Amino acid sequence: MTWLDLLIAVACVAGVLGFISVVALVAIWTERKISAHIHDRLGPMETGGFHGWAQTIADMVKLLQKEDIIPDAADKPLFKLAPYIVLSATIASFVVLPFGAHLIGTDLNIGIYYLVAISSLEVAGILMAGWASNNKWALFGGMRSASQMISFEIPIGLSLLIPIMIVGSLSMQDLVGAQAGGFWNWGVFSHLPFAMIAFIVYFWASLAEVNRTPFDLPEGESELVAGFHVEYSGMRFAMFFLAEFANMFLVAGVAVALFLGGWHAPFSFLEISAESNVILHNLVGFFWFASKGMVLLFIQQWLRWTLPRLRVDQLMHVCWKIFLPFSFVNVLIVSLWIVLTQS
Amino acid sequence: MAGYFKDIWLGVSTVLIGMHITFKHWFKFKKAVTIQYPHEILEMNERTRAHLFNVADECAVCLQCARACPVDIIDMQGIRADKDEDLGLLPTGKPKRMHLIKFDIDFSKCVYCGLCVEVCDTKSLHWRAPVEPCTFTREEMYKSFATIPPDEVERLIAFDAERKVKKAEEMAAKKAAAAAAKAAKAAKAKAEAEAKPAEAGADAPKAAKSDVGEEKKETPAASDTPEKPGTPDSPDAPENTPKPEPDKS
Ligand code: SF4
Ligand code: SF4
Repeated sequence: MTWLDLLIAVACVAGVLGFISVVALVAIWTERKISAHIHDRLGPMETGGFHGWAQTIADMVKLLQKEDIIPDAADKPLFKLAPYIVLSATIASFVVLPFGAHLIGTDLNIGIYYLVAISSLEVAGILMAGWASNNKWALFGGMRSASQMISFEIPIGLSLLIPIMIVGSLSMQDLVGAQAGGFWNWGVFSHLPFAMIAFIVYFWASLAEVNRTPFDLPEGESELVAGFHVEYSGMRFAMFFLAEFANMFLVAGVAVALFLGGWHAPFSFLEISAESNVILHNLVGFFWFASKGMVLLFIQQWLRWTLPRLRVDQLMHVCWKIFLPFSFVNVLIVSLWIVLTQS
Repeated sequence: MAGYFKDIWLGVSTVLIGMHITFKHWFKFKKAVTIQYPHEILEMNERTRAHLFNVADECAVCLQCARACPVDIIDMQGIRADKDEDLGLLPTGKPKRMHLIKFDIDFSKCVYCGLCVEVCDTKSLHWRAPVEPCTFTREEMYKSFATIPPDEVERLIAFDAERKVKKAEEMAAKKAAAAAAKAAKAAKAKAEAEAKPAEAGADAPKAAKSDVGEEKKETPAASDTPEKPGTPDSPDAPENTPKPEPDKS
């Protein structure tokens, strides 16, 4: 490993961190505005002039200045470590997300596999936070989070298997590249309706994966106060928050990359070919990727302010009795389809 | 099995219905219920329970409010009007008899309990908008409701002091007269007692009687003076004066 490699790696991580910070700031603002408008309210209106756009920035600055409180009875090393694990797992997953033809941290040949594996590390961080807080609500939240994330990994993995089987590669760029040339070539529309079902199952299960309503049991404001991060304050809390919103974009990004054409435009004339201008090609690709991801982010937020929270048993019912059989049947049918059409 | 798929269908369809409803609210662009408070302020009812206000012309200066206040912050002072002075009628229908020269409330101490408003018989003390009690300095929290101008207040105070002195003099004179009468009575009794053993003289009782008559004539005269026209500086009758309190509180 040369110095140049190290420099590139650092620049890559810094870029990812900058991107997820911006995404989190925008997403928190839109979350507030969307929730407000769905409730016929206005949301933040003052900070920054235009519809309170700077409210989240002000909140971040405030959080940075806050005292870092560590409870006396907490398991201090674990307590301090947990937010870093959650955030670094998130950043590490972003490394394989294809923002453009060349805008990707590293195009691993097992990219999607790596992503699923590394984002599971977050469970450890959340469980750690819940355990180390030495608070029963935090522990409940951590346990629920662990159980639901581990359960929902299975339908997620099975639904991700559909595009992988169709394309025949685990590399993110290969998966995106197979969807070029207009929206009818996108992953969702291949092998109708099975890839579509896989996409829906993935999207719903990913809500559970990132602890969003209607699967926000680990936080459960009304019962667990704030779940696993109830004891956190200041910057450590901000890290959890950042990780949560970055994860929302991450799962949306995976859905975009595998099912919604990645950085390809809905129509090929909206793209700039790599031969004419590489930089512009990547920027336009980035634009399409980010805007598709944002649309999915809005849908996540829209769902959050529509649906009430599920009970734990209902959550498990949805996972094990509905998503799982559907995914299995899906995998079977699609693999049969592929085998039959290829031979 | 059919139930299973029905459940799924129910779940999916109700989620879609819910999303449709929230979507309608999201993009309805109807006026939000939020009121951007400092920029737009709701029109309040006239007697919103927000701030105390006293209408000086309608206040009877009965001191009920000052007594009711649990934190003793109503600082008021009144001066009895002259007998012939017409201050108009109170809302209760009775004539107003007191000048309100001072009615200060320190709102920084007020607990907004409303006890003072409840006891006010004339309803001159009442709640009123605006709702914002905030000020930039403590001094601004100190509100005055008396409407009499300062020079007039000075005149009234001087007049009141003069009246008091006069009354005190008169009281002293009355006392002296009473004492004199007593002395005369005692003297008469003594004389009578002395005269008894001797022959019953008609002169001594006569003289005593005339003395008593004079003294009796003096007492009603003292209380009658205020009713007499053309004597503006005459003091009040002592019976209907609750006067020490207004000055004190
Ligand atoms: S509202 Fe209560 S505290 Fe305020 S002046 Fe009236 S009696 Fe006193
Ligand atoms: S109770 Fe009413 S009438 Fe009496 S002194 Fe107070 S404000 Fe005036």
